[in-house]
Amino acid sequence: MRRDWKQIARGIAPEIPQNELEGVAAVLQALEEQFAPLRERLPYETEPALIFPCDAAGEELV
Amino acid sequence: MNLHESAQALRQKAVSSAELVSESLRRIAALDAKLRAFITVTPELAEEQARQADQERAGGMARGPLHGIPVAVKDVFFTRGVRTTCGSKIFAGYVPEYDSAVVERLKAAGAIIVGKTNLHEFAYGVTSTNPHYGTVRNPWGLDRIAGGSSGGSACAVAAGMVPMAMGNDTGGSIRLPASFCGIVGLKPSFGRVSRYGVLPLDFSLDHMGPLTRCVRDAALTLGVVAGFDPRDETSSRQPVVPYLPAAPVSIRGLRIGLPENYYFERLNPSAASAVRGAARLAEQAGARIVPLQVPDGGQLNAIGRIILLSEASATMERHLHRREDFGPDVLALLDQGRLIPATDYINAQRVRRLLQQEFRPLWKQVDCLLTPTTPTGAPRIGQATIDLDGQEEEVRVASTRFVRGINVLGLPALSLPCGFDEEGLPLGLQIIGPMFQEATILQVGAALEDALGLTHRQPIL
Repeated sequence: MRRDWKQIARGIAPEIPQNELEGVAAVLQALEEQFAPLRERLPYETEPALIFPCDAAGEELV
Repeated sequence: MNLHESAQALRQKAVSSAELVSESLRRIAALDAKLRAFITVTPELAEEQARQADQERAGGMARGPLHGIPVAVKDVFFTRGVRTTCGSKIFAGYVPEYDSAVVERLKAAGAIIVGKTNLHEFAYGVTSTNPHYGTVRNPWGLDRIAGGSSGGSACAVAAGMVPMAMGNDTGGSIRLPASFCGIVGLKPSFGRVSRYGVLPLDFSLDHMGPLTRCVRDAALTLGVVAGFDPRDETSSRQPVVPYLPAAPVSIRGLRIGLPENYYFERLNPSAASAVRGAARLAEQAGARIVPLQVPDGGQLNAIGRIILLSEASATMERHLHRREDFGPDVLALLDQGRLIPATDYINAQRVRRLLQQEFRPLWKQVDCLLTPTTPTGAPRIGQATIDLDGQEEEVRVASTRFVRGINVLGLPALSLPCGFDEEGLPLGLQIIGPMFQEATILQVGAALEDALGLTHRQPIL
């Protein structure tokens, strides 16, 4: 499902000027094209790396 | 003089701290109008501290390895009583009531902070073209960017204003300006150096580290600033080990990985050739060069950008009603980050976990990786794109292509000069190691630095 970044901007951040919106949307569109295949191959059980393993073996979670 | 030469000269009483600080301040006064490396210089404070350091040394006391040596810190490190702008108009008048952990440790080791260095606004960019405090210029070519975001720190060290300046690195912000300015930059492992008292840009990608004239100075500084800090929840309890490479340094028997994919694609041929030349020197020194395939750096970069855009916008959201107070490039990035859905952010963090797992087996094959730091020498100030292999790329995206992903993995990485391009601009190589193996990458870095013999080359100013 492709996102309409301009539409999202109109809802979330209507103060972004129209002339800047083109550039913002273009960057996010390009990034989405890189990210979408990665997102789709994610196994269901994969946890986010929000809790970052700080040690080599990853045993010490902070 | 570099850091360890200064320390030795002080120990031997060949020079006083007052003399070192005076020379540092003289050079800043002479050069900074054109280089714009500093936002704030604190001469009275530094001179007073130098007098005290000399008195202490005369009384037989040395606080630590940096006793009496002038240094600088990027203007994101909080300094008690000295304003900390973060390169922004928003924080232009902010005077912290406490020191960051890094500043505390530098002071405890006897360092004298002569000032706060300029940077890309909010450390969010690669040019250090700062709309509020001036454009940092590259000492190797005044029409070139110093790189960013720690551009002022890199410039100050390259121009001989200070032997060491601290920076921070969220997507290459230490290694990239080090590469462009022909100096050494070390991004330690995530958790190795406390982030306490540094304005966060991205709480899961920010790393603190030194920029220096040589690898041994980076090692010396890491020994001072590394260590557990309970005030930083991501700080590691891994023991701090000796980082200074033994003399004479040997890399005999070490396995150095040379990626066959990604890191040698779309770059200036002189950058590729300089890194391959360094690899040959490593081989001559007894290391084993292991050609290998590495997990896709493009994937790492894509998720790194999603995480950075999201976290930086979350951090800065409270200031976004002051749109006119941001530079246009930083404002555009903050706008982009606000639009990324929470699901994308969470999924990027999930992919990050997968890529960390994919990268880990690599360290069974090799002790470190050798790559270029940047695909080119420093671009011109104002240059928007770089043409590589007929493909036009934004300067920001191209310059961070080989460094950003390492922040996603949290691994330690060192950049050091390895040659010059056809225009005489410095090129850097990057040594990446497993988590908390800073000593290994510093050992390899010191051996290559000795073999390359480039440290005597300084910009003419």
